[in-house]
Amino acid sequence: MANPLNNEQQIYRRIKEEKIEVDPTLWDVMYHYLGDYVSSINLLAADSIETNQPIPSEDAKKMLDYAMKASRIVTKLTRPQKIQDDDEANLIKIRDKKITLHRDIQELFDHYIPNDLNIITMCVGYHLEDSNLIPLNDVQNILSCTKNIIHFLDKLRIATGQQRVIHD
Amino acid sequence: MDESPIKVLIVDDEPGIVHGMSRFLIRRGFKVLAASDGKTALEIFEKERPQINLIDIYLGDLDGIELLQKIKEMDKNAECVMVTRITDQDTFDKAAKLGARHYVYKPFATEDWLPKVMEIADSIKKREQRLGQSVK
Repeated sequence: MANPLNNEQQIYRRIKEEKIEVDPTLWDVMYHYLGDYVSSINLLAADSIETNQPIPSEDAKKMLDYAMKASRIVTKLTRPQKIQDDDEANLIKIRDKKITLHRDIQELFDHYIPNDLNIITMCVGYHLEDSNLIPLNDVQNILSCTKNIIHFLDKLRIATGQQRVIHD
Repeated sequence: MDESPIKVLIVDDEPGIVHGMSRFLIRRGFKVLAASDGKTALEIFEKERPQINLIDIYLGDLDGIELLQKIKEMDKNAECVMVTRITDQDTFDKAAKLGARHYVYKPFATEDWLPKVMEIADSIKKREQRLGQSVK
């Protein structure tokens, strides 16, 4: 997991005090794609840990695909100029309407998400090329990376007032 | 788990979520059914009457809330867990009013959803035991 930013507490304080929000279209893309891809990687890794079996190449390929797709979405969210005309409608809307992440949120995002996704990509890619099985110690690292992302997105959701009162 | 396994319907358009969740549930003795859209989910529900339904709120053809409503109309005892990314308060209120049992935020870790399913399964088994005893 990335070390906390030096100014992280100040950033979260500013988000709260200045009521910094994230545009709903950005939220939608962010949580839709990252939600699906990160959850899918987490499920594959957690399954391997629960069954005490290394990850076979078929699952490793899926993991790599999810991690790379998630990385591409993160790039497009933080660098809208990378959005292509054949991307989905919400991404094109982000580009054309120049919807951007607030600089404080972008700083957090840049610090936390790409790092963990890169670790997953490198770890899975290395084993796919080498032995085609991901050993349990590396699966544990991958699982930790997904949990870091989940934790960060949860914290961001709460900080930006997207936390809802729910009855359970 | 006894002879007739509890049926769980997973409604999600991401195959990775469906396959991943299925593995954990099958290992725990559930019978898993899956649908990638609301229409198929309704057809499966009508035929199989799953006791637990994991519903992604954002489905392509049918809103997850509409699906929840239709499921509850067919069987008020059907247990529904709404799986969601960010949504508005209105959607939460509607889901709560319709009787959604739990919410799970995406992205999720196994510990965010599996204990909720197990808790529901436990309450279903207890309910069935009570019903069985009252019949005797």
